[in-house]
Amino acid sequence: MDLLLQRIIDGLSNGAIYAVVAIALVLIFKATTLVNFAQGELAMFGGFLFYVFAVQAYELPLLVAAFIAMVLSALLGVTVERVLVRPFDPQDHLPVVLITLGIFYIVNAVAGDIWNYEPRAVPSLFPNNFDDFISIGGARLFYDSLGILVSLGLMYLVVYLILNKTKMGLAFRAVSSNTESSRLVGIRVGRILSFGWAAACAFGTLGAVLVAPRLLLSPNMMAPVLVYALAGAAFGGLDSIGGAAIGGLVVGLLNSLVLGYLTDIDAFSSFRATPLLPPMLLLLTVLWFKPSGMFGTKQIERV
Amino acid sequence: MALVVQQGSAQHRTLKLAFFGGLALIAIVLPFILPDFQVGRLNRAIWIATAVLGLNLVVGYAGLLALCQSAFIAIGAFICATLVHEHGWDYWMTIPAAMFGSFLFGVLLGVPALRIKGLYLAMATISFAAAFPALTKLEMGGIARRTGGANGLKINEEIVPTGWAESLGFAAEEPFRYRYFFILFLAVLAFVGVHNLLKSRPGRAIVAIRDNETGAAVSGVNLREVKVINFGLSAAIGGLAGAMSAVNTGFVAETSFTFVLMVDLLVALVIGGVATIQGPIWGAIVVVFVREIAKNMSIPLGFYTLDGNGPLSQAIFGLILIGVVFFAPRGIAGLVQKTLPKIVQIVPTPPGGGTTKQTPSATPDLELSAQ
Repeated sequence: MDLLLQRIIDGLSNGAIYAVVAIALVLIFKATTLVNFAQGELAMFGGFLFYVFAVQAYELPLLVAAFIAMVLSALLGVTVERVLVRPFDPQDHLPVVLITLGIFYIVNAVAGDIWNYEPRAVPSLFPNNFDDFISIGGARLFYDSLGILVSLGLMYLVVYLILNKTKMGLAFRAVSSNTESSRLVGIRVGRILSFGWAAACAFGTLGAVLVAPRLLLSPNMMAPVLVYALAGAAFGGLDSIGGAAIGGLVVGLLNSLVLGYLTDIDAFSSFRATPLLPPMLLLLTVLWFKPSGMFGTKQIERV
Repeated sequence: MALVVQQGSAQHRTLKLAFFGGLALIAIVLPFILPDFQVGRLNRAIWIATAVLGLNLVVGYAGLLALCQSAFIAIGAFICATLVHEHGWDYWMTIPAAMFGSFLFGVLLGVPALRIKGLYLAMATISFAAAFPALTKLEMGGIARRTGGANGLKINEEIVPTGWAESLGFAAEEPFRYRYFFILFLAVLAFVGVHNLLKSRPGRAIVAIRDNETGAAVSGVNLREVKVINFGLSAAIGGLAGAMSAVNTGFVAETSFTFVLMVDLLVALVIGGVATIQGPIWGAIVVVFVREIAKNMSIPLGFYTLDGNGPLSQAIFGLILIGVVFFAPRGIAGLVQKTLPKIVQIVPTPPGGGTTKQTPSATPDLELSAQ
């Protein structure tokens, strides 16, 4: 029983990180109807900025360093969107996918050149010593995991409030529902796109800062996280923020439970080497029954 | 001033003969001038071009972002290697088996996957491509035993020139030269086959679905059937490419078929030119050889020098990629199609067989690729 509880807690706290990155993906999808395959790398770069401010150069307080890193990545995101993405028609998927893959290569290589590929330890935003936990029915809920879950909750709240209670959020929803009409009623679409990318990159960086103490910071850190986040976002539906949060959590939970229990059975022991399998199967099953994800808007075609 | 040639005239036929004859001559001479390891790299370019040709059927001509070609390549490569290694087949006999196996996998995956649309399909298939290498290491059902698991399968000794080829002077010590001709032969078959397919009724149906799905259905195209079979065919060509890669290196391991390969194929497709027959060839050359050149480049950017000799060769490659999408959105094939009419213009024969001046129309290839 306590083992099950432990696995659920671990799964949820990993899932929360995927959820954070998945929400970032959805924000960009809602703004520009494209999937940003460079999201993980941009987030990784933000994680390194955090490292610079918190450890390498300035030794600022961790929260301040995380905040500065988020602001700087937001600026980076705005620049990338303005220079590299806006010239293209997002309805034509292939060029934009290629652009984000190009950014992927460049950011990864530049980070590797500046900070090399050695994995390095990074301080956690939350206390993460061996005895920093609350005991729940025999399972250990580390402050670290709790902090990640709380961060996800806070982030979701912030995004929800901005989108539903501010004028900017109203404009954002208008643009994501119909760009042309929004432009006609006088919404500055460009600013909304910038806002979407800024928010996504800032939150992506938050995800990287949260995951870095667990995975160790290195330029290749975010690639698996991105795959899980993609699975989570597609599970929930690419244009649903709540769906992305739930999708990320489900992927994390599934991974922890399947890998935890199934690998005890002999025939499945090699599943340990295939951590990507459960989310992939989940994704294919969900998309088979609901081609727009669990909570996504159905795509309707007009002749 | 451009040379104006009438389509189907003797001059046109001579030009065509000279062009393809020249290409064939280069293809035959090339492996004898290059050092052995460069021939191996050339072989890699050929099988990558073939894989991209298959990818092009789905991504280019059918307009579906299905990004799991690397998995089909792996299936073909493993079928080839395991038949040679475990069952003692001759390597050339495994080629149809590899294609058929990949075709079946493609159809099996295509039936559910093609319900999914647009970027969802891209995400589902790319996560499949990412998970696939690990799948080959599963202990269930003897999968790991047949694929060699993490160690891979070595079939290098089994791929030797057949008797008659040996008598032509192909030495076993320089294996890549013989393998080059074997691989090239298969690739030429694949390219001619796809070229002809696209000119036929089913080929036109594929393009019609891309351009207007409802319109195609109304005109009597069976959407589901055409889509799934097209997906299967693309997978079969991927499987062929996989078998070619197994023949080239004589070694198959899951680490060669990760989604890094998938990204390379996509990059090759776009740099070469989407929905063209020549595009995959250009793209494969760029992906295999420009990577090497990028390692010897350094681009000064004022305060920061992009030095290719290190991790930054990837950055230079990324810059090239973004540059192509910006400045040559239709790839190298697009550039060729734009510059070629300035050198040679092919004009259709006017009715009646006269030689009246007529404004040259676009070549059929151009019409196919125009979206």
